[in-house]
Amino acid sequence: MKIEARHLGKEFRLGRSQLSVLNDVNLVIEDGRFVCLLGPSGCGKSTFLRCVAGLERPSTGEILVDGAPVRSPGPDRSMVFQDYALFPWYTVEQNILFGLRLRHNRQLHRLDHRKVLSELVALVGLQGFEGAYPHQISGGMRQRVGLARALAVNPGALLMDEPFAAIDAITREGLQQQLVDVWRKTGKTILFVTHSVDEAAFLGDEVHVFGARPASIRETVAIDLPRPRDVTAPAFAEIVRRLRRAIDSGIVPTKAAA
Amino acid sequence: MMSTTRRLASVAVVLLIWELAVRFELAPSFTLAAPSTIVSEIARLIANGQLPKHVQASMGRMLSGYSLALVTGALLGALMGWFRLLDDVVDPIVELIRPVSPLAILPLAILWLGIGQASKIFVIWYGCLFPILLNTYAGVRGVPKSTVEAARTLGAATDEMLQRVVFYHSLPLIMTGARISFAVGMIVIIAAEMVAADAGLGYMILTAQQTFHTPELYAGITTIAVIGFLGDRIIRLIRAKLCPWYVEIEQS
Repeated sequence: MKIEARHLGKEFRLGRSQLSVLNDVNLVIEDGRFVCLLGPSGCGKSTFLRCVAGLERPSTGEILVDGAPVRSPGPDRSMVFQDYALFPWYTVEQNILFGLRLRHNRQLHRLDHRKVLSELVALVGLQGFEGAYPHQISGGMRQRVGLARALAVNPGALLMDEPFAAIDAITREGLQQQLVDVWRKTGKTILFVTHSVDEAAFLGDEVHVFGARPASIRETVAIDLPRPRDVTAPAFAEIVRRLRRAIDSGIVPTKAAA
Repeated sequence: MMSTTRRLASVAVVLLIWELAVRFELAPSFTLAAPSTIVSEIARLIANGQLPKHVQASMGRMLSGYSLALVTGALLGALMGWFRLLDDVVDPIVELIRPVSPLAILPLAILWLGIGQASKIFVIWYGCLFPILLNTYAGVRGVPKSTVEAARTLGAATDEMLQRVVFYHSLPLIMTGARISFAVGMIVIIAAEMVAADAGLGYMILTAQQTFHTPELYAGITTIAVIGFLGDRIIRLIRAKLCPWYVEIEQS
């Protein structure tokens, strides 16, 4: 799925004043790319993702998905949330199949559901936990359910909003590697929002660094390091350095800008 | 298991001390009936049909008003939770009426509906309405934003959102409301029957007190306790069946 942002702006009303969060964001994401949106908390990168998802309406400009403007949320752009947002009343299996069991997917036969389920469960490594409720499994496993649930509807793009931010560092590394594997197997376009430089450097084909509010894209860094990436390699360290510099220049306004 | 043993032991010890206190005449039997006396009195009242008659009278009224409250309260609560306009219109009225005790309404209910069943069912309904209404409202209104958004990004339409997200999120709260309402209903029915009735547990214990039938008074109170306890247990069992995920969350 090709995603294009044209002169995207977003303002929120805060009492009587307007808070400008995004200002003239222009971005083209080609089909099948793993794209990270990097920036400090509250810089507007999540708002950008939510505009792509159709959960927020842009104030100005537009988002085009395969050439058509985004009007509402839809399973062609499924989302993975920081707080997992699983349905506590459904089991792992029911959570994963949620999108498939909705009306627009009813033409799918039940047997297909079983097939999709077993494939996804194997893909994210949840075998044996199909009948568990979300509260019975760990945070890392919950997010794997979130990922499988988002993949089940066979989206054109996967939108991930700081999905590993609430997960401990060791589990996070495992999930990052797993996500790369999933991406290589499925070939999905992935938009991945993060405030972690290392995470962006490890995951992305390209990283778009968002500046301070109102945010626009300050710098785009293409990463063509081979995968799986060696985080101890000098080339990786160089990418991290570049990304950090881009972020720092965004936080502290330069004299020229002031 | 250990916990269950301790709980049963606690009840047994209290009953034993109670029994001994009466046996050794630490309290006059005129004011305090021994547990053994209460049990035989209950047996006598069941045998002569008095207790079943009063229980039936009370619970008939109670369950009529209670089930009416469950249906109307859940419906109104759900509508208020879903439609902001209705919330704005109805909520201030609810908030103004709610603090008024059902017992304060009873004389008015009798004035409107007469001294028969209707006025008692009405005050039960009134007392049971608010817990179920407010809990349902909280359930519908309180669905986390990200849960709603997850369903929307997976393609849920409004009716699917209601069936698969809002309903399930509200169900445990509705059942909690049903528990609270049941307890309120038990309080209200006894009081209402003390004011105006010719049958029912409230009538029975008031009459027993006025005619100095102390064992019968205790038998009535015990029956109320048992019904209240069993009713609560049954509602909790239903909740466990309907909301397996929730009960486990509560226990953990």
